[in-house]
Amino acid sequence: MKGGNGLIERWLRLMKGYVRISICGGSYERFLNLCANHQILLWNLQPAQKGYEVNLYRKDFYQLKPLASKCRTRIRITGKYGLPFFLNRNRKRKVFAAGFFGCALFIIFLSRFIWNITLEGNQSITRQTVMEYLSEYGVGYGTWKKDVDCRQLAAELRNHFQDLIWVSVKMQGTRLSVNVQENTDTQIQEERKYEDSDLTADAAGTIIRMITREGTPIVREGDTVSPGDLLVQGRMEITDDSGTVTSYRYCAADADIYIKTDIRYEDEFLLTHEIQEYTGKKRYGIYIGIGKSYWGIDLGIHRMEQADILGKEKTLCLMKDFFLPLSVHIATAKEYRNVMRTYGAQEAKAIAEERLKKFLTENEQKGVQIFENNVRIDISATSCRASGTLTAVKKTGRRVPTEKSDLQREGNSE
Amino acid sequence: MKKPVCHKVASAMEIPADLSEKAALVELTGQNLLRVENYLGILEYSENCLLLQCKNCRLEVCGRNLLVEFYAKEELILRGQIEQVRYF
Repeated sequence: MKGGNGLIERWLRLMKGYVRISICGGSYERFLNLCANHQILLWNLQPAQKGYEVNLYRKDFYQLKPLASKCRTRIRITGKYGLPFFLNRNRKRKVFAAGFFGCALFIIFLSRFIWNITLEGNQSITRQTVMEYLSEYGVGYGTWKKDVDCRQLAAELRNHFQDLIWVSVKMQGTRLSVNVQENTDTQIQEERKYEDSDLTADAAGTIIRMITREGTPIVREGDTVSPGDLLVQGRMEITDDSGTVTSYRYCAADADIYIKTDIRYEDEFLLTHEIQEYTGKKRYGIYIGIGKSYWGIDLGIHRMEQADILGKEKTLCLMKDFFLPLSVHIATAKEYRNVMRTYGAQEAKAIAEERLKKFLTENEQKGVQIFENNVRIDISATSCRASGTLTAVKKTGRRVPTEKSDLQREGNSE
Repeated sequence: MKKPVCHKVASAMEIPADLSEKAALVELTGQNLLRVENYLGILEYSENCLLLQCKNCRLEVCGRNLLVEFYAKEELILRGQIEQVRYF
């Protein structure tokens, strides 16, 4: 469809400039048909009081005179629209034109810098850590885009952060997008090579299961161990036919050792405590940030003695990716006052149970299996105390360096 | 009425009538938009009626608040509350 009133057509018409004319007298229909035959585009043709009103392009208007005289119609311009007329009307406003072009040039100049950095895919490495590294590397807000080599920066990030297995750095407008993938495969982490070492107990208990993969087991299933006791030695004895130790072979001891142990649980909190009670009063502050500096007005926040302040920041952005070094901050302060409150017995017991449950969940996530729970909750006049022991099965084995003997090492480990 | 030979050939070749006979092509979208191609000119136009001259017939569109949104030699777009389209 050639015609229509779509957005693009409207913009095109405004850029080219068009006029609205009133046609009266003579033969209107003949005039319209002549216009069509002379390839003059007409739109928004509407009957008016004494004839018609119609729009046409500025350049086509100059062709109308012979057609109008042929049909004996009178033409009168009722409106002029579009850029050529706007420029003509404002031709004397030189400062405005200079300001307009200056602004355009300034925006083009700003588009040469980085104004926004996004980081995606990070889990254990914080944004702050990456930003600090980027800052050391010379990349930050306001860095000249030409100076940033995305491929090299990606390689540097991979080298610096060992846990990153994939890094992508790309520039989109004034935004630098850093996408990373961290190594979350724990098995690979466990397969790290250790130095020659022994495994010792990190808690007292009874060994209930033990699988030794490398090293000499010192204890057996059913043995009772104390913290610091040697469990698996990273030194293996090499004996001759008579049973005399001739040399040692050293290795990093490796074993899965599970002990049944008692975990002491102690938790106490006061029944009387301080809480924050919101008064319902809210105050706002509006700030404008240019680069790293902020200016703005504070609508009563500083008058509040105690308040929670929440901030919202919006960086101004042209189109999709053109971030400007200009941001708007809106701070909302909610006033509160500290009030002393005392827990009731039931409430205190519920809180103590909740805290114990959280402790148990955290331990279970670490692989500790809880078998018995002998924790008692006592509530006194001033405090609530939960104490007791938890019987659990957990993995043990703290790595310590192997004590080296004076005897000669065996084979290629010499 | 006997058809001219060229029309018969065009018909045999399955050429659409709007190309071979320059028949008016009218496209009506809903009740508010009408697009006409292959017309010769406007004979009459008011807020309630538009009369077009086509090659073989006349086309009358009746309705309310009719507005010629676009008018060129090849195409005409009419917008408004269309109530009736008539050939005669």
